[in-house]
Formats: sequence, C-alpha cells, structure tokens
Amino acid sequence: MSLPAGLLDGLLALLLVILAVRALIAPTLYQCAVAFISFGLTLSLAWARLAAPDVALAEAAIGAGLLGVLLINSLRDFSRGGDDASAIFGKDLPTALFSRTVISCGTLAFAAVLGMAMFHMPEGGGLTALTEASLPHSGVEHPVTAVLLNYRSYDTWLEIGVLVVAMLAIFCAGGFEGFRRPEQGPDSDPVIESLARLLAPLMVMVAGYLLWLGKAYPGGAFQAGVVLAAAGIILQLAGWQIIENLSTWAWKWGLGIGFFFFLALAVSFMPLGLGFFEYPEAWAGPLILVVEVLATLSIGLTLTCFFVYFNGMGASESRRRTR
Amino acid sequence: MEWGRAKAGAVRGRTMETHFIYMAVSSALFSVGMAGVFLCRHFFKKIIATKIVGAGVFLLLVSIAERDADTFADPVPHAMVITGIVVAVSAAAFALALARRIRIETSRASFEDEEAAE
Repeated sequence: MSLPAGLLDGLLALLLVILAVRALIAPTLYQCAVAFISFGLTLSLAWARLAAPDVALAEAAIGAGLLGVLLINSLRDFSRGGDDASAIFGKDLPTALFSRTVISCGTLAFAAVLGMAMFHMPEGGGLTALTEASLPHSGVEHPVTAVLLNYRSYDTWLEIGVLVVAMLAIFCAGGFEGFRRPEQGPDSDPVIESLARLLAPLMVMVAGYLLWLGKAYPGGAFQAGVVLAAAGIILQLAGWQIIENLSTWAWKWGLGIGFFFFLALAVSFMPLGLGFFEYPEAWAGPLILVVEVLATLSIGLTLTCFFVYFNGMGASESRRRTR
Repeated sequence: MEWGRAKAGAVRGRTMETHFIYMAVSSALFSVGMAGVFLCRHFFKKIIATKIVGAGVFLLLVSIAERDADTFADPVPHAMVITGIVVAVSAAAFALALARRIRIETSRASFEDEEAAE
C-alpha cells in the first residue's frame, strides 16, 4: 500500500469514528443530524475506497441524502420547547454515572473482542469466482446487478415490498389528516421554484442514465429510484404537490407495479419448467431492464411518499396547535 | 466489465492493509453505536445510534468482500449491503415517524422524561 493511499484510509477511518461519536454527543439535535449526514457521506467515500462504488452511490443517495432530509424535517417537532439534546444526562446523576461507566467499559471490551475476532476470520474465498463463472448467463455485465436482479432477485423483490410497507407504516403513524390537502398548498418560494424547474428535469435524466448504466457499470434501479425521489422531493418543496394531486388509481399502481411485476415475472416461467425467479437465458437482459424500469418508478414514488407523509405530520400538528 | 477489471487490478495491490483498517473501524463503529443505543435517552439520538451500528455491520461485510476480491470484489456482500441500506433507512424512517408521533401526542422526547410531559 502506497503512503498517500494509506494516509487517506487512516484519515477516513479517524473521521468516521469522530463523526459517529459527534453525532451522538453533539449539544443540539441539529448538530447531531448534520454530523450524521457527514458521517454518511464519509462512509460512502470509505466504500469507494473498498472498491464498492454501487454501495457508495446507494449510501450517498439514500443513507445520507434521504434520511438526512427526514432527520432535519423531524427536527421541527423535536426542537419545539428547547432543543433538549442535553437530556441524555439524567437527573439522578450518581446511578447514571455508574451505569454509564459500566456500559462504556463493556462496549470498549466488546469492541476489543470484536476487533480480535475479525482478524481471526477464516478465509472463505467468497463467491467471486462463482459469480464470474455465471456472469455470461445472467443477461447483464455488471456483477452486482447480476446478483441483485438475477441470482438473488428474491431479496430485491422483497426489498421493494419492504419499502412499500414502510411507507404505509409511516402513513399510519402520521395519521390521515396530514395527507391529501391539495387545496391548501404552502406558499412557494420563488427561489426554490426556479431551482426546481432547473433541477427536476436534470435529475430525471440522471435517474434514467443511472438506470441504463446498471447493466454494465455501477448504478441500477435503487440508485436511479432515489434520484427520482430526490426530484420528487424538490418539486414537493417548490409547492407542486405531485403526490396529493396524483389520482388514487395512478398512486396505487405506481406504488405496486414494481413489486407485482417482479412477482408476475417470477411465476410466469414456472409452467415452462423453470424455477421461481428463473428467467430464460436469452430473454434475461431485456426482462431485467423492464423490471428495473418499473422498480425505479415504484421506488421513486415510494420514497417521495416517505417525505410527503413525514412533512404532513408536522403540518397537521401545526394546524392542530393553531386551532 | 472492463471498468470492474481495471478496478480489481488496482485492488490487488493494496488489498492487505485497506480492508484491515476498515475492519477495525467497523468494530469501533459497532461499539460506539451500541453504547449510544444504551446511553442516549433522546429518541432522535437512539435512532441515529442504531444507524451507526448498522453502518459498522455493513462496513465489515464490504471489507470482507474486498478481502475476497479475485478479478473484482465479491459482489454478493455488495448486493446484500445495498439491500440492507435501503431496509435500514426504511426502518429508521418508520422509527422517526413513531418518535415524532409520540412527541406530538405526549410531548415526550425519550422513554424516561415522563415528568417533563405537560
């Protein structure tokens, strides 16, 4: 390992640990959220160093970007009546101090044991050779896409399902009054609106590019879906209310189509003697592309809904307070 | 494909130390996160702490993938981690929504501060 590369890895490692600690002990919640977003972005640099550009893209887009938006959005409720992040220290200090010491020592010992265990891990060899051997039959050229949408498509299918379930759960936690109020839009800021006009078409184009790129290079349905969701969130912030103005029919189909098309595809070749989630080799490439396009649409819509319902929670609360 | 191979060639030269550094970091992150889950009282911080624990686990998986690199880094852990990131973010978003609802309904921000409720 060359010296600059080692220096970079060392600095990234140090920065990751510092930011993680900072995200937990910062004096205000806003600083916690910002430290956590920086942590996510630093982590995506670390993944780029570990030769995992797909993971880096996913982390930067959803781990730091989307979750960061949700964290800062929810600060509206938590910082009401004082930004009481200092509440980590209880009033009964002696016992708290004792338990804090015990837990800190315990986790330090645990970290040491864990670190030692990691260096004694057996060399399994991994599944690289097997993946590479089957790559010509998978219909795509990029190994991670082949794993996600061919070898282990079961995981990816259920992951799309998890997203929709989480979206519904957020909807339920937020209550129904926070949603579907197309008549009372927020006053749109002219700056955000012109920014949205500029950025949203560009982001849709980037999403399409990432989607197409997934066949042979890092990229794919999830990254593209998150970029699409970012475009949706920006439009939402500019007061376009795309989700609220969507017809119920389009909303339902948009959310479900990724999941259900994937399922239909999984069973449709079973009469021909193929297994669950097994595609005919000649059609695998085009079929994967169609699945990815529909999954991207569903993921984009689902994640935009995440934000809309989240935002609606605060809005319904402020309405209740003014009442 | 060409890109993957070129990258893997670069990987082989420095694979020994790089993944060792990040394995050590992953154990540190896991422990920091665990300590945060126990020690932080505020819901917001507890949720961030669970995300940090998850980041430690993902970092270990990707380090192992890099250790097992042949012509390219092992893609199976990569795919698992991408799936894992999305699921972890969904779970964190749901947890945040619940915490927010608790805050709105009871004005509590942690499990302990019942006396702080108005």
